[in-house]
Amino acid sequence: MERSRTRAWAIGLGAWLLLYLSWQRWHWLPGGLAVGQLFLPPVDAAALTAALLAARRCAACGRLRWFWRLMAGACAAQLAADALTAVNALRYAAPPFPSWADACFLAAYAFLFAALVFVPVSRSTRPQRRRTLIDGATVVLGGGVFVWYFLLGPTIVAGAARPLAAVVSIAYPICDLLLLAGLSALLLRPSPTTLRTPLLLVAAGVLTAVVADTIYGAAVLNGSYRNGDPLDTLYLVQFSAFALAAVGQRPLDPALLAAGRASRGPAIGTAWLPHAALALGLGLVLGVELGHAFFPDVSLLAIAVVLTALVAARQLLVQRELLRVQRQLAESERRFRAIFDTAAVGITCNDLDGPAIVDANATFARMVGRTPEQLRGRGYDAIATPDFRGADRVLARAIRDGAVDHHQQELGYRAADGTTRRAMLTISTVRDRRGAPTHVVCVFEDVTRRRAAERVKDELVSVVGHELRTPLTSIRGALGLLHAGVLGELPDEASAMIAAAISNTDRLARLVDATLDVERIEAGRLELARTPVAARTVVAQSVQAVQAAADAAGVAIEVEVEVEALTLDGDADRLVQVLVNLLGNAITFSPPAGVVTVRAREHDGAAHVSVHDDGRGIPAEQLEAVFERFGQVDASDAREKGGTGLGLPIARGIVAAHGGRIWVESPPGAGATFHLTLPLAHVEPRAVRAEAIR
Amino acid sequence: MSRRLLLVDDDQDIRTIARIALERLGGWTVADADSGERALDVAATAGPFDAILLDVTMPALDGPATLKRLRGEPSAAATPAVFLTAKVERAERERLLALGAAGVIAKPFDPLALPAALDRILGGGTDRERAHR
Repeated sequence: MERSRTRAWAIGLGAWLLLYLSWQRWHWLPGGLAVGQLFLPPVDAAALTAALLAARRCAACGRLRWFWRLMAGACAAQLAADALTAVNALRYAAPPFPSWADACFLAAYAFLFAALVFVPVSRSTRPQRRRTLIDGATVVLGGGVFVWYFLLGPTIVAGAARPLAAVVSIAYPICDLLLLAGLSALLLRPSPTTLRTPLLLVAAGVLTAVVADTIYGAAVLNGSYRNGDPLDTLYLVQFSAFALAAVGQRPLDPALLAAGRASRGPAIGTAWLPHAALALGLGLVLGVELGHAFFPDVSLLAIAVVLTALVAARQLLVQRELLRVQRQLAESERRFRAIFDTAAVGITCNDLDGPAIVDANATFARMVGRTPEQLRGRGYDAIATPDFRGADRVLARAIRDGAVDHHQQELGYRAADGTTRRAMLTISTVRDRRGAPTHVVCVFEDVTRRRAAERVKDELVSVVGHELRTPLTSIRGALGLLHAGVLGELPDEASAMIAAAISNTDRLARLVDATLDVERIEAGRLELARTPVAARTVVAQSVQAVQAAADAAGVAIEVEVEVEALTLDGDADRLVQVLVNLLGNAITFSPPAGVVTVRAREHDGAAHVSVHDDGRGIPAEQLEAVFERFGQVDASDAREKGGTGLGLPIARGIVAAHGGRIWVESPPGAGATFHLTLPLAHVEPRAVRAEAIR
Repeated sequence: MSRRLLLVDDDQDIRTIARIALERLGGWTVADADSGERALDVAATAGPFDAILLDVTMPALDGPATLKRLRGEPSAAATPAVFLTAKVERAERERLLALGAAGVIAKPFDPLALPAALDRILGGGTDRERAHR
């Protein structure tokens, strides 16, 4: 619709121009040359109508509306001026100069200046403004040389006789020049896309006017100007351009303009306008100087010209390079944006102060049910899910502590659909060239399904464990009764068979129990019934539990409890389990007639228990590995010694759940010593303190 | 005359093992039931008993519910009851004792040690009785 409208106007205006040119050629109207003046007002009226229509179309954007209203004012003033000129031309053989028509012409300029002020432009950066200034100066200087040579210079020389006429004649090109400067400033800045074609057309109109006014001014001063001169063609073109500019104006969404999204890419005039002006000015200087030989040394001038041309060429190259780099950057930005947005994890980039979100990817926005635009510039507090407020704190703390490289934390959050989900938050730092932190990047990985899968696995292990236990209990019970001779004495070989079955059933039962313990520990479901419990009792019970095994192996157990009243804060059964395990290992690995020593003492406000054996020890590189699952020093241990390979991991889990620590020392040739620290019970703080002081 | 015990467990194998252990090693005469409902029948028809050994986890009528119903039977109202349970947590143990049980024996139990464990719970009197036997 808009295109067909523009085409209709263009055809109409073009036809009118052809009509006028045909009159210029054949003078088919009665009357003199002055009749040609009558062709101008209709074009002004058309431009006026188009500008008013454009103002109405752009009612939504205040500034643009005013631009077109003022353009309409300029057209109206031009209409009045052209009408007056026509009347004067028809009435007088020699129309007065200056006249009221000239006042109207100058008023049209005033409107045009005012209109330029209202052109909506996007905010530009400082380097952009600087470049605009330089380029604007180039344009004005290039055009200025042109105007100076043809008009200002001669006028100043010849105008002494008629001061008012001289001033008015000069006023036109000066106004044109200023208008051109204003317009180039606009064209050199990024402007809304919907405004580009209209602005270019207006600029073309003004440029036409500059040429026309210069010729007109010179002609008036020479006295060679006559109303109805073919020069009027240029004015006709000028207002046709204004009319087309107005017709082609599409409405502009003010919101788009505010968001700065209406203008993408460099300004229209940046690439060519300064160079055009430079060529204009240089061409003129060169032509004039070569013709008049004003400068005595032409070679000097040639060098200056070549140098300037080189500068211009360089500027052109730089400009093209810049455009190319900008395109590449935009391309790269698009590519990374796509990667950023299509990542399966939610990603935000935050500044260091807020820490407000600078950018969020589509996945993160989807996770929390917002759009990236809604998230920008806000903290996680702004996302009304209570758990993310925690994220703000985590982030602020991580930044404050400086521990922001790959800091990880799991947190819950409410998803867009209202369900509660789990996310693993990884925080990393973005640094500048000098290594100073500038931003943090937060990656939110939805781990809800993984956690659910882990839970299912844990539950499976738990259920299977319990299901295994029941039949094992029956088997063990039946075998136990048989072996004890409750149902009658068995032949020796049968008894040996039953004994083998019992020992393997026991081992299987231990494995099942250990597996369930490991599962409980890893799922964080190890429940401790903590009470104050005497270290002596725990040690005694543990020793009692392994005494039979020690006797069988010919190993002695020595107990040294330094502080009789040493009281632990712990789950007695679980602590016994730990010690039984350590003692069992010590007995297993002790040489025949070896000694296992259990020590309990107070150290640094905690209970310190150690189990020492004189066995083969543990290689240095395996001191940590023995606490891993199935981390036996020798793979054959599991079979030969009947261990589950889970005892030490369980011991570590139990000790850790108590808030204690377990480790092993094994100097070469000195056996192995397992150490553990456990919290003391503060049942009698006074007594404990007194002890500590002593 | 030997002591009479009502053994209630839905697991046939456990019942067999416990029965043999209790009869051969503990000198009990054991009547067993495979469910809470059946236990009520047995208590009504074959009572009174000197003790009741009751599994906690059973389908339909579980151990605690069975005990509550047994307390309504005149013949079993005052009979000491001992629970068998796989849940060994302290809280669970205390919950069961609060129901009026004389004691709790953890599953899995060692059949060879079961009679002694039961005797310890039922008190010194039975221990002595056993010692005299």
